[in-house]
Amino acid sequence: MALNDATPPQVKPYVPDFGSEAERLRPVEIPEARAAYRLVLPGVMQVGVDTVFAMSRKSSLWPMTFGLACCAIEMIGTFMANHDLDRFGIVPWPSPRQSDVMIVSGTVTKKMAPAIKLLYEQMPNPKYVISMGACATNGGPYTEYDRVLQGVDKIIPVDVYVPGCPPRPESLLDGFLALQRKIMEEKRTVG
Amino acid sequence: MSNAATTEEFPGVAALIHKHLPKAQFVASRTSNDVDIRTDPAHLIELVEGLKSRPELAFDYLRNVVGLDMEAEGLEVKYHFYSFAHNLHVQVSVPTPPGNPHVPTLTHLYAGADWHEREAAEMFGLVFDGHPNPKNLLLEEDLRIHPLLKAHPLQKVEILQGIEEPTPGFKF
Amino acid sequence: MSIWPEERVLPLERDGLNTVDMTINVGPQHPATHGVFRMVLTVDGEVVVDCEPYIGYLHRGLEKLTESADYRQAMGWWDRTDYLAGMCCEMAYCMAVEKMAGIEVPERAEYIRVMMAELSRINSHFMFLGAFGADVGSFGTSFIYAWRERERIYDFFEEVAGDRMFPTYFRPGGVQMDLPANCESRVRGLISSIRQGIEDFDGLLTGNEIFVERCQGLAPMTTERAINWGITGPILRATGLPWDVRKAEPYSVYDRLDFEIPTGKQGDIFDRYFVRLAEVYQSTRIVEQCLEQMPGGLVLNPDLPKTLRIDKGECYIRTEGTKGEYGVYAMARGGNKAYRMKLRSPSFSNLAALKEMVVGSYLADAIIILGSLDIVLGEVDK
Repeated sequence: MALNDATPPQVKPYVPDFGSEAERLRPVEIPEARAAYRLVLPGVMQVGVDTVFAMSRKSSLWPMTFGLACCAIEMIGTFMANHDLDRFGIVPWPSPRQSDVMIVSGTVTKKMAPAIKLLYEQMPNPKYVISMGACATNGGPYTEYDRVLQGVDKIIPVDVYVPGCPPRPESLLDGFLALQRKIMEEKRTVG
Repeated sequence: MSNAATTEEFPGVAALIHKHLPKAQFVASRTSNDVDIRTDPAHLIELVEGLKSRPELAFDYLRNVVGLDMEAEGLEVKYHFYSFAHNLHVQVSVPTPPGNPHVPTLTHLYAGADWHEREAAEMFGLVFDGHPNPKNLLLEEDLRIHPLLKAHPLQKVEILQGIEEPTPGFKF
Repeated sequence: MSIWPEERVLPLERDGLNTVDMTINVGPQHPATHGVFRMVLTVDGEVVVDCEPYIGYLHRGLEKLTESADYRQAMGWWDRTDYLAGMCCEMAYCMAVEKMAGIEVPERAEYIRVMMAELSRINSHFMFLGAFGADVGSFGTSFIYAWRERERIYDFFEEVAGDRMFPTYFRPGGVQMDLPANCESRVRGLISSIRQGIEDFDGLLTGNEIFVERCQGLAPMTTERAINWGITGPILRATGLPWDVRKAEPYSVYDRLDFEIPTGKQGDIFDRYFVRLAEVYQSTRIVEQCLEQMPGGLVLNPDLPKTLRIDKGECYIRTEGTKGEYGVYAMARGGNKAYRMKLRSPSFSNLAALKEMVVGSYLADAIIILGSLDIVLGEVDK
């Protein structure tokens, strides 16, 4: 047998044997996806513009105070110290021209509907609507009376429905978090 | 509650009223917790002016004005009066004949009757003669429906949600 | 004529100055209106010359819907009329049904009802203090002070009755279920924190010179005018007449409880605010006495029929609601549904006098006059 024969020696391929730890140490499948950001240089980060816009929109939602009826009291309660909404960047703002989200809290009557439509149109884009309570969702307990609008989504598009009569402050908080998730999800389709 | 055979003619407060306003025409009876006085629209102003101006009665507070739809017997109006000086309460009922729902207004005596009468007028179709501002209060300005009449139906949920057709002939 | 404005001298005689009245719409959405209420003010400079109120933006058909539902089901709508103090409304409604049907209420239930109604009244008055402070100028601070106590009361309601705002805890014939075991200590803790809250508000508002300057002497009202308009409640008491339905025509167990009626002197804004502040303290006294006097026993009349049918009945029940005389006129003509139930709402009558109060004051004062009326639109618009 010459020394420079081409066949390498028969070596069994090395398979690590973890024993009882095999399950825990199996490598995880990472799906191929676009990363939210990456570091290109020390101190320089590359982020998609849509991500930045969506993050800034969801972190600073300014609702227009639009309390119509009983739900308004629970809405005010959510802004107050016990279930603070300010820590999410949500500051109640009286003017429609400078607010992002309209919380329709309370029963919408047909007499009030033109005012709501006007206020919605006065809000600048991007704007969102949270329909709080059963009355704004579909008329609520006053469903059978013909002077009550059966849900505010008959006149304006609604993003999040918060159920309850009236919804607890935690429910409204959950509605805001759902709106934040929605804003992050739709970041690629909305400019 | 009150049987025709044992009814007293002027129970409670009605006796006091009859004593101080002998010429007033009314029929008195008892409700579950008060005394009710029934007159007709023609004698209402005289009775109410007497109730307000006599110092022994001094009914200076108009508490409430109720409109009622007593289907076959026409519409009815009930007034509730209270006297602060003597702590007396009385209810005055004014039935109107069907087809002629006119009642004189009390706004010149009690300023608070203004809004109460406007609401009763738009909810039932009553007409208060002499009211200074007979416009709709709770409903839209140009709407001419009377929701609290028994003939006005409550809408079924499916109709309001636009799933079913409304009853033919009744459109809003 | 020179082009420079400083060189143009205008003849500023009193009658020579041409002005135009401006119409301002304080619309249904406005951070200062307490609900969907609209008023159209005509102002001459800064002085209000005319005021036209428009209501009906929350007209939800309470009375029509009540005629279509069973006696016990309809209470859900009546809760939501005075939505700041749900249980006061429930009390009036249940009393009306009981009066017509002749149902007796056990004594323990009466005391529980009075306790809950007084806590609701405290709730509503704190909301007034918070909103009125915001109107006058302390934009967020007074709300936060108010909600500290309101959240405690709401927690208590949730523990006892199940829901924060509209528990439908009362039934014709008593209350739905008994109080929990630790109720007494909880309520005593509540009372002491509410009294501390009154002290805080006193320091925040009454001790503030700006507040006192703005409110004292503004829109005074005489007792005769108030009675003529049908105004009741804290506004009537602020004019000097010590009249309270709980003392004049006592209902439930109020005749066994000892409390005072705070009154004002001239019926101006400051008096109305102070009367309500004092009433909170009196309500805490009532709650204390209820705890002491409450007997044991049942909380719901055991002989109630499964379906409540009333053949004939008519009554007008008046209670002292948080804003004034909250009255329920009820008529029954057979069956298990009411024939007619009308709500005599205090805010409706109080609001009718707005024009008289506002005309002649400044625009900024018109807003706080509206705030001092303490209206709740659920009642006004039924």
